[in-house]
Amino acid sequence: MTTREQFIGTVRKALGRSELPAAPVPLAYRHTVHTDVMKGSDQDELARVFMDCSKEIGANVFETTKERLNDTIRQAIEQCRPGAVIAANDPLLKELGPALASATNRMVRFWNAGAPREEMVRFAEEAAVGIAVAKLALAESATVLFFSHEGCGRSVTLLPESNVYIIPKSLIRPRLTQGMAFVRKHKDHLPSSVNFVSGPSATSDIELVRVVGVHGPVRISHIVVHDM
Amino acid sequence: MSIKTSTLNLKQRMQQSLSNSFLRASIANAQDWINQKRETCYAELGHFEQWRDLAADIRSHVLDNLDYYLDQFARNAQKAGSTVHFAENAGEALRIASEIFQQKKAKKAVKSKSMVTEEIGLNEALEEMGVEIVETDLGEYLLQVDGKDKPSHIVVPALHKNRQRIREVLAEQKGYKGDDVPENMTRFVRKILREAFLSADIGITGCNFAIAETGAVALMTNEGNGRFATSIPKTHIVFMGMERVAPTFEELDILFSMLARSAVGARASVYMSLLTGPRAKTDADGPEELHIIIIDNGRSKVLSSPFKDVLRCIRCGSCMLECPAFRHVGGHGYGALYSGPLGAALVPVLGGYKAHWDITQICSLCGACNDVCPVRIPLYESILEHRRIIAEDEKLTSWIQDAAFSQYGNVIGNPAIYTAATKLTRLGNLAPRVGPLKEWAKAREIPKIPNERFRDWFAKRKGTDNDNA
Repeated sequence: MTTREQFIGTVRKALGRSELPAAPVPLAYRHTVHTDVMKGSDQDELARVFMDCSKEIGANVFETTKERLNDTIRQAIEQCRPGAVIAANDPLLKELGPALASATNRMVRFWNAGAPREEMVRFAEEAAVGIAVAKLALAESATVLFFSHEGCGRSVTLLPESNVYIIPKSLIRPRLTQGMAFVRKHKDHLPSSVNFVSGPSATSDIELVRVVGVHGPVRISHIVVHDM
Repeated sequence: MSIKTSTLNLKQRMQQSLSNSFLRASIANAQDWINQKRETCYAELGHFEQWRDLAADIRSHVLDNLDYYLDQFARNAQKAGSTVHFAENAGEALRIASEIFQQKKAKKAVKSKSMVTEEIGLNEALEEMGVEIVETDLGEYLLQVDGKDKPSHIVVPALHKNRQRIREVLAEQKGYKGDDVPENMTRFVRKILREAFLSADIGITGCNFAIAETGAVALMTNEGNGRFATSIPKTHIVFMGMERVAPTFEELDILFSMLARSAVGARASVYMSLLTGPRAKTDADGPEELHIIIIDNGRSKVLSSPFKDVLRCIRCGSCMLECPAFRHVGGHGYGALYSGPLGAALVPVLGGYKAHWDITQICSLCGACNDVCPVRIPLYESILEHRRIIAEDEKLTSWIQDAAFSQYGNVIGNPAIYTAATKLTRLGNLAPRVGPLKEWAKAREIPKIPNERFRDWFAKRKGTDNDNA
């Protein structure tokens, strides 16, 4: 088997070097086109772009306030097929928990990292709806960032037929540039799975016809909370 | 599969592609549709030239320091709990993979679309071991179900199949009873593949980019199959071409921003996943083991060749969508896994001139590919340089071609012979339609050569009348 030293040695030779170089000087960017996008936009403007783009990519959009959040979640869930709800183990959702179950008249279960793997995956697979809270959101592409850690397993935003995402307006940023900078800032404590999600899963593999809902969620709702 | 995908020669492949009118129509349609979307998307973003300066700079910077970044990536990935393997060639990569399968006693694997696994022939090798390997990208799945057909485009692999054919295949192979509406067929496949995801022992993916600073693997997918393959099975194996490194997440921003737009004309793909090591002990889902197999398979040869810049490629496929030759022959016509201008520039170095010299012929050197490449690869210059090497260094051109060009050189280089020869060109009208002339005349009319040379006509005309009257 090739060892790391041998493998890197071949690469090094191909580059015409006799030993591994010291850390290269980081690349200096010639332009600022990436940081210029929506520069100076306020949160209202970013939220407007986020919501417009959400509609374009086929997500349902709701606007609400923290006080009315429970009611808005209920509205979003009402549009989904009957069945249980799996929610991220997030302080915000925990707070809403019991009220949510009674309002929607559905079984609501929180992601439990302590439970056996098969049990949690099976429950997420059978659930009709998954609810999660955004870590950050990106206006340009209606993208929502999730850290899939112990409180919100990968399955929550992947297995249920519908997903409801709660997006505090204050967390909307212009674009992926800010998203990646955010991830980099947390690089020393990143969970094993970080996902940027832009709308329902989709394909154009058959005659280039766009079909929404392939393996991931078929229906996505974005709830933008104005005073959060 | 390996890099070579066809045993037919260039002429036979051309005939096969050109006679498939459905294929040609769907490729033309795909080119027009995706190119339009891409243009709209970049117009909205603005400053395309500056964006591609950034992307090209990043990729060049990585290649110039690939030894450093690969080492950094491998160390950090290991620190994050991944197991990193190195494979010099396809055989070694397959050995490593089969050992993991044996160790895990794995019988079933789900795979998310990956070109490098096609390159090393992973499916065939695993099937020989008795492993069931399920392609989960919708297009790739449809190809697999239809008698292991081959992809015709790197982003839309089943481009050459129409909905009627797909319905037929699903009905025959999987008992589908519905109509040929893409949405209904997609829902049907969703159900079948959901079962596969939940029962697979191992998930297999490629790697769009590997982040040196943290050891993370970055994947860009739309259907969700990439996320399934990396979330549900207990073992995840990443197959990574060694040039796919980005220094930090910040460079990844530029590369992903370009990839989504150039590949399908979208502002972002549905899923951009950053996977750092296997699941934490406190996570309930995610793989317990994450293996990363870093593959050379000819890439270091490219790195030390005059074609190094080709390794900047981010596999968006926009050169193919812009190429007038690809429009007519499609992916299969190239006879190699990588097709289009990228294939013509890359394959001869990866797979050798002897086996692949003819791929460089499928190009008119128009340069349209260069204008859209998000990382500014000098594509047509590379193809031209290959042709020079094939003729001058490798001497792989036919004696007829060599004789013809040497004769042409004699005529052009001697004024007396040149004058005599051009006076005789009119006899060309009588030439029999054989050889290249026959091929040319198949679909076109050969223009008649006038009786008088332009030079003679011009000399006679000079001073005889007032030209602008």
